[in-house]
Amino acid sequence: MTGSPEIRLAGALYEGLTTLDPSTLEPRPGIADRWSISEDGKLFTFHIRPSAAWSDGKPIVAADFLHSWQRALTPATGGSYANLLFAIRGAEDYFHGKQTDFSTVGIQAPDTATLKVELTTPCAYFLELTAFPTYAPVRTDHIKEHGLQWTSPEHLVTSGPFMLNQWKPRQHIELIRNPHYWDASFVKLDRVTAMPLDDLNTAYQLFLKRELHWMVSIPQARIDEIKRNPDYYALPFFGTYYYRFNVTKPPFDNRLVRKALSLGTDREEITKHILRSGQTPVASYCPPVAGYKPIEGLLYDRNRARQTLAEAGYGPNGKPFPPVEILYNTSEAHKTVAEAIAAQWRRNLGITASARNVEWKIFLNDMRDLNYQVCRSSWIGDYGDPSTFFDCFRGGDGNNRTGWDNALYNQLAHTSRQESDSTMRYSMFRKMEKILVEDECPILPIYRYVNQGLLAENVNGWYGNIRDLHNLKYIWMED
Amino acid sequence: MTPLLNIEALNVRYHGVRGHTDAVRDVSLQIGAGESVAIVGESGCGKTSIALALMGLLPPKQITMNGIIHFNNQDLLSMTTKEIRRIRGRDMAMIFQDPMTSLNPYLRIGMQIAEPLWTHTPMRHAAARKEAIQLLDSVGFDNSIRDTQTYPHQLSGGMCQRAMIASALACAPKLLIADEPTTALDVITQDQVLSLIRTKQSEHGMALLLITHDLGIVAQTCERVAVMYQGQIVETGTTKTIYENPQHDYTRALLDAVPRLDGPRVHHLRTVGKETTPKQREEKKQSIQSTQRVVLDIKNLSVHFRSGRRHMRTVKAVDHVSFALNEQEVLGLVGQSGSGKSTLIRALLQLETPTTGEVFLKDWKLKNLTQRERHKLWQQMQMVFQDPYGSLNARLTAGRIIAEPLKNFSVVPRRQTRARVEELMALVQLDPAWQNRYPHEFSGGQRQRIGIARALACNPHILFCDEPVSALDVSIQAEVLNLLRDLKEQLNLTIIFVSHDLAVVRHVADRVAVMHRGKIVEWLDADRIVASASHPYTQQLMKAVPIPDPKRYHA
Amino acid sequence: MMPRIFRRLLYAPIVLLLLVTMTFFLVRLAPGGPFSNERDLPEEVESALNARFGLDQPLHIQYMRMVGGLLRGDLGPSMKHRDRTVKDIISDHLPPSLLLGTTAILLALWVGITIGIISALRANTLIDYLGMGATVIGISLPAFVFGPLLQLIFSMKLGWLPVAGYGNASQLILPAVTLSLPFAARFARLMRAGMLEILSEDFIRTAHAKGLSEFTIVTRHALRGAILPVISFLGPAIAAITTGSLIVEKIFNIPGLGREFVESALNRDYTLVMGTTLVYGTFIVLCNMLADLSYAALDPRVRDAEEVA
Repeated sequence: MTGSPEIRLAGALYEGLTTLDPSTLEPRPGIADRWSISEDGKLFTFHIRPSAAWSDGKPIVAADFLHSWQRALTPATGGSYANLLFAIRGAEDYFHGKQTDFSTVGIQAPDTATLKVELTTPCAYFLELTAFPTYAPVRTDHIKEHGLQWTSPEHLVTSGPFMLNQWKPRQHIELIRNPHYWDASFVKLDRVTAMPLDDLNTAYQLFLKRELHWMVSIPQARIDEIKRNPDYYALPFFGTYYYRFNVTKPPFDNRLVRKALSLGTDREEITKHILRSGQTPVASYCPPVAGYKPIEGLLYDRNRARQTLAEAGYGPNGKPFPPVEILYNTSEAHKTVAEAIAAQWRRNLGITASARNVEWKIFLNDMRDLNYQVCRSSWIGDYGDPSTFFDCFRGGDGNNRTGWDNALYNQLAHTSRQESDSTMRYSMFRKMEKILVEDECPILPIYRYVNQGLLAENVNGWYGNIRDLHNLKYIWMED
Repeated sequence: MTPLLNIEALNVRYHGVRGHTDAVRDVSLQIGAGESVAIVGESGCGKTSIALALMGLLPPKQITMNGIIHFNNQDLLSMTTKEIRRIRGRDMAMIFQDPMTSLNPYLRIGMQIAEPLWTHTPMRHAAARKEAIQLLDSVGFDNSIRDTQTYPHQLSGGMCQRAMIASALACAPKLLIADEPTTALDVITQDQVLSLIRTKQSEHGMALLLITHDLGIVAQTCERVAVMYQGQIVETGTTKTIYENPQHDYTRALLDAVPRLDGPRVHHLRTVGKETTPKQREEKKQSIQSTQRVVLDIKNLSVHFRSGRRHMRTVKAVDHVSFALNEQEVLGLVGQSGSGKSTLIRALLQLETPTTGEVFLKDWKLKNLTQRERHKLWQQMQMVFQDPYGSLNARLTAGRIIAEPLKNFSVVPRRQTRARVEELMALVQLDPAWQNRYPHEFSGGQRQRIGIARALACNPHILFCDEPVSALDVSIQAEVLNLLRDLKEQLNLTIIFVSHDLAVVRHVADRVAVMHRGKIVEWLDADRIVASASHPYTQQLMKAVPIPDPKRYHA
Repeated sequence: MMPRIFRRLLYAPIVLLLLVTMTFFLVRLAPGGPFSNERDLPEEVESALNARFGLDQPLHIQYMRMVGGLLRGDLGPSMKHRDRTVKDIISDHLPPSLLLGTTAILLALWVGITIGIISALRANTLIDYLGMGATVIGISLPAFVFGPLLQLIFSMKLGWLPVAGYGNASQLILPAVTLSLPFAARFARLMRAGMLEILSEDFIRTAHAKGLSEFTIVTRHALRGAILPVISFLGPAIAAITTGSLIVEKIFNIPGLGREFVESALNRDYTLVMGTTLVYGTFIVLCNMLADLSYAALDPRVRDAEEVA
């Protein structure tokens, strides 16, 4: 395996109240074997299965969840995913320090086997969230005891099908079956080794020698050769590659300009001739998920693009268009895309466009401080609901980073949360998407990510899915 | 009886990129056992090629050789490399011109001396070490046990040459070849090394082949002489006949080119290759009256160095020196290497900080000068260096080298630079048309002329000449000395002329200061050196100057 | 020799303090902080992290604390890999770098010196041309081409050696060869030039005149002087080989410090940057010292010049 194994392996090490079906990604019982939901959809009562145990043999109790979630909601120990817990009543206030008493948060553990969770508004995908690593239980007593050392193989106690046997940074991580896992008899793999390989070419050679059975990304330079390999897979992925406009500065404070540039971008050229590995060109933002169907967006139309730019007051009969610079973080892939798009804009709209790269951390700074005109971006959904995409562009959201703040969009985002009917919600999302990519265009979607990799033919129980989630619990090897 | 060495009809031809050179042409020479023979000639005459041919040290790929070399009843030219190797260092040994570079700087002296023993005898370790100590003893090291542990750079040139001799003598060879063994040494050391060679030769009964350009040392050391010119031996005979009755014009020219202490002071030395008979007129007494205006006044100047471990020892390189230099005077500064001559010059040029004392250039007190002031000073004091090879930038043309101080000190407007360069070249008797040539295209003497032209470029008040002729062949030496004399008269130069050779100094100087261990021990009038020298050191210096007259040694 | 060692040892801490100070301010001057990422970090988390790592303090306090920590040998935790201390990271990743670097430098010396000597002794023959041609390739062939090429030949086609990884000797061969190539080439050229220069010296002629064999002349008389250019390049070479192993570490997945060094700077991992810089700084200072000392050990003239100076 390659990639960032620490995150990928979290699912194998930790199991939350629920887990996701490896193929359909529907929530399934995990540490909780059953649950009930109140009429209004706001109160979830989870029953922890009696056989649930930590890898050190201690039983998993409701309080473990309570403490873990409290830890996740404490800024000093939490991370950038804390907002996923904000569906819970009072969680956001507690996190922001408006409320210091944790008992005000809607989580209760009346007994060792029962966990009651109260939400602010009904949440259609809450059972999916409880499968997310942020909701997984950790051994807070161990963290207290061992401090920084708690993640070491000697000290790490897990709740999932596997436990950590060895961790050699930059060499390999070795997982072995957790004998105390409630479903241990189902787990087929005795041992899983993950290798962080920065050099994908080396990884590919290791794969060819069958020293690796699964590669989660491929060396793009050898794409043509790899495509012919029967072990190659390419699946649609729950992520979108797009450009942001800085709407606070001219000329991109003008929505017609943004619209013109979106219309003047030939996404198919990018995916077909430059990327060439199965990415889908899109003018929409959120991928289709859980029944949501995205709108079409502004498809490539050179004439309309020019017309729109003229409407905005630029072009042969208007002002000259100022030079545009696309900012991207240093990477060969971003560079080719940026240069191709700059060329398209020059060609289609007659504007002066160029691309400039900066180092990653500088890029992040520039993006946060709105110190750019156009910049490359991407978003990968955290859970199987469109809100994971649309929430970002609420005014003032930390992930917005365009300076765009639209009252109607904000309003729709808010009401969609209160709504429990999925048809109603999805129609609101479609409205939001229309604002985002057709009317206002603070962003310019380019393509849908593709999930490419290589999987040895003797690996079984591996299901392709849009979120690239593969619970090692279900995987087994044929001899 | 067959001679020890018999060379007959030897030809050596070098093959270069641009054709070939015949370095040795039809040379025949015999040396009997225990005999001492000299080959005399100037650089490039082929004398060293003969020595290298004997030793089998000529690069085989670049030469062709024919003729006969029989040594000790063996035919050297038909031997394999391996066989010759067995003779080298055992039966036939060689010492070279520059003892400092001919010894390996990375290895201890003792080891380098013992090396022929290891190679040619079964002697090893302790025995070889003991032998090395004895050898050092025998060539005049006074602390041989310690000195086997020293490295060449820790010894003086003379001591290095002694060590070379010890190494050459290690296996008691039948023939010692000495290639310019004393050219890099000062007169007194030269005298000592030559007498060592003579002693060793008679002690061991070995034959000696001395190769030199200096007829002076030949008279002292050898029984027979072969004079070589352009690859050929032009004259051979006993030393006595050659000196008293030279047959070949070249031999006569060589003899006349040597400045002599014993004879009258000549105005011009004879130079070789010029068919015109040099003017051998008696110098007009006081032809140039040096004005009595003092240019440089040195008062009680001392330069001390700390040296040795922890800087415990103080070396008084210049020790309370005082003198005044008059305008248009030529001052000769004589002394051995290490006597403090160079340090004195450096101190005058403000390159060393004096420990005590004061220096005045006219009314200007030279003390704590700023960079700018020193720059100004250097325009007024210029220097001619010893090594005409190392002191010229090989990447610049002669014209640019001479023009450099002109630009540096902004002496003439830029437009006039070229004219001034041509003027200077004419002054030092170089063809101005050669200004676009590079230093390597000039001979040693011509290069030294470029050096002089450069020094004169910015009309200095004082010219320092630091051993300007000691690296040159006698005939070229004569040319340069003649030139300096001419320039002195033409330009009324004020010169400090530094040399270890009293005869050379006598030829150019008005007044001579003898320097010994940092002190000026004696002042002499150049015209009356021989008569008036009283200090024992001066007399030692005088005695050491070789005189090309065998009668003085063999009579 | 001793005073020089002492003097150098005295200078070393000053040099390192300068290095530490410059590093401290330069990384903080560079835009971007250690905690920013593609996904926005909530303000509360960021300020909690800043407080935890003392980044909320004024710069001079941070600096004093850092120096204090260094004096106690405490480099603190990494800001990126927050469950590992800088000390852990260095002690995990320095040994592979050292092992790889040492192997590579020894290999480079052995190959370089051998080729250099042979080329010099056979100067301007076919052997010399082949040797020097090889060094040109060696200098110009980048590791990211040479490494995969070796993998392709020796791992994929011939199957003799593992593709990548770290842990046993066979895994060290390909990366060490890759890493040593340009240095071996440079050593060879320096050795050849040094040898040719020494062989034209007067004292070599003296050695011939003594009747010594070719072998003795080369080993006893020429080698010591001829190797000096190699020695003076050795200090910078060792430094370059250990700090420049990033690409080779990547290709062969060696868990070396090179990647930590570069990535820590890219990640603005202030504490890790400090730790790795300090390690490399110390290393370079030591290497140069060692090269100087061995230079003096080989050349008696340098030794004496230093005593007097």
